[in-house]
Amino acid sequence: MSNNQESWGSRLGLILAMAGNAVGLGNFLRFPVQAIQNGGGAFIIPYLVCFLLMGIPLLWVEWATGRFGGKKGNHSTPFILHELDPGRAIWKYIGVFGIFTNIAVAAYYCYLESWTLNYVWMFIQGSFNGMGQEGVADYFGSYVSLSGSSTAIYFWLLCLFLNTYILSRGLSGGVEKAAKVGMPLLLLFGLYLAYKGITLKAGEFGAILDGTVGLNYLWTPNFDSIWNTKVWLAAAGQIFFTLSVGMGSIQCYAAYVRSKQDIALNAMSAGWMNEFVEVVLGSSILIPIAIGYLGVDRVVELTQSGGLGLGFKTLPYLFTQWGPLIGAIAGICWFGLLFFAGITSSLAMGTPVMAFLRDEFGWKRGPSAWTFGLIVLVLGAPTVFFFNEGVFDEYDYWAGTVSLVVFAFFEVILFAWVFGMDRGWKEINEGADMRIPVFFRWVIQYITPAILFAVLLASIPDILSKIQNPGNAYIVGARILLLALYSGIAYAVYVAYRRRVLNAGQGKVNK
Amino acid sequence: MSTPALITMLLAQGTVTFFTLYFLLKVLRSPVQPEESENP
Repeated sequence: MSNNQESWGSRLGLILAMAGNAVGLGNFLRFPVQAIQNGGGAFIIPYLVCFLLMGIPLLWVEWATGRFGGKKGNHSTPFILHELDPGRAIWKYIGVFGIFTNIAVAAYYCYLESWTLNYVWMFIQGSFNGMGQEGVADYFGSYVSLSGSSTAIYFWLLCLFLNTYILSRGLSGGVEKAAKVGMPLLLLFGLYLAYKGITLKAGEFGAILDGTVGLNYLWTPNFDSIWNTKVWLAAAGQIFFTLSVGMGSIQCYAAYVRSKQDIALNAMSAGWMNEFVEVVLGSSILIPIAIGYLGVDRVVELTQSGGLGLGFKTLPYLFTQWGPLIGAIAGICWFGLLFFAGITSSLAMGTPVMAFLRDEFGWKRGPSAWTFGLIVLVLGAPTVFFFNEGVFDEYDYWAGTVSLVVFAFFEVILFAWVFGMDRGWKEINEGADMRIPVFFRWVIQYITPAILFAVLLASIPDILSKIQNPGNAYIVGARILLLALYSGIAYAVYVAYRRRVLNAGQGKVNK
Repeated sequence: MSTPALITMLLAQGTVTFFTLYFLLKVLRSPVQPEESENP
């Protein structure tokens, strides 16, 4: 029998933890780049429509399935999904995605998180001062290629240790406390940097343009773009990844909500908090500051491959232009907020794994947390040592992109069509502190699955092309590792199910 | 900033800020639910 008796300490703590789960590095590095590449200000139209028709419904579905599973003592997706349709074995194995994705994403995400920690340390030491633009960019290159220094490894291990330690303190004693500290600090740092970005003046501290030029570039609407399917797919993708839906972590957090506690309003509050961080803060830092120093053309060129390079290779140099003190404060704020955004998300990735071990095998909190840490260490090592060979990106593609869409599609079908919309709607509204428009019942049943199906369909050519052109042996190795991980979890689920059946047969479990 | 960019930004950020505060305040104003048995 499960010894998993965790619970949230407070409602605000739960909302902050859920918002922290959603807010990640993508809010600051991915959203502004997606916006400038997909119609500028006009991007917000498909973006908000997708939030309304796919994001919010998925949040309610995941919160509801999580709380429903939790009522029956299930806190991880294999058995939460099984509980929705106990007659069919397949859902347990689709639910495996909800553990697989969390481990595989944590494997590379913790490494990414450790970069931010290292950059905070670099700013505290003043190491970027006088380095020059190329020097800062070269530092990133040599850091991730591990050339001449093992610093990246030490910071990665430190980050893993921090994550595992916080997880071992439990839900209210670890995760919730981290969110209560991390989220307010993230907002504070973000507001300070947004103020600096917007008030940047040409001619001051080496800036060539006002910060408002960057804002103008980002928000000028190109309304023709909203007729472009590619833009809608980009918006759907952004909403999907920013909310951390399709991962299994929301269901796990919600499984610890009290059985009649509101989920409808909590989900909205956490979801909109993420949108605030993304649309208000995310659009006011990276692009205004970068364009203020480098000009529009150069920034467009640098963002062709995403926002990561701009955030790590360029921004640290630009901060140093503000002088040693203000530059250090800005650098600590920028990488500090990225770190808090990262760690509140990676903690959410550990929780489903721990929940599975505790529910099914009766493990205690500490051993399950350290086991998660060990798995992430082993699986994450190739992303650290073979970063330049594409292993990091490969994990991101299969676990952090494809798996999410596949899992979300199946879970919404299960919820709306197998579990049934009558029961599903009742579950969402149980204990609700807000009245949900009936319109959403129809959206969950028809529109959300249709959008997810379209996203899935649109990604098939890319998936096939990836399969046919693996690139190099390291990438093949990464795929084998991911497949082995999925198979291993599926086997553990099978064993856990057999144990349940056996225990039920012996009268040990009331089913 | 050009007028279209400014209007778009204010509309987008205003909408998002409004709903964030609206739902957060609604949570904070909701009555504390009575203690009940935890999800196991």
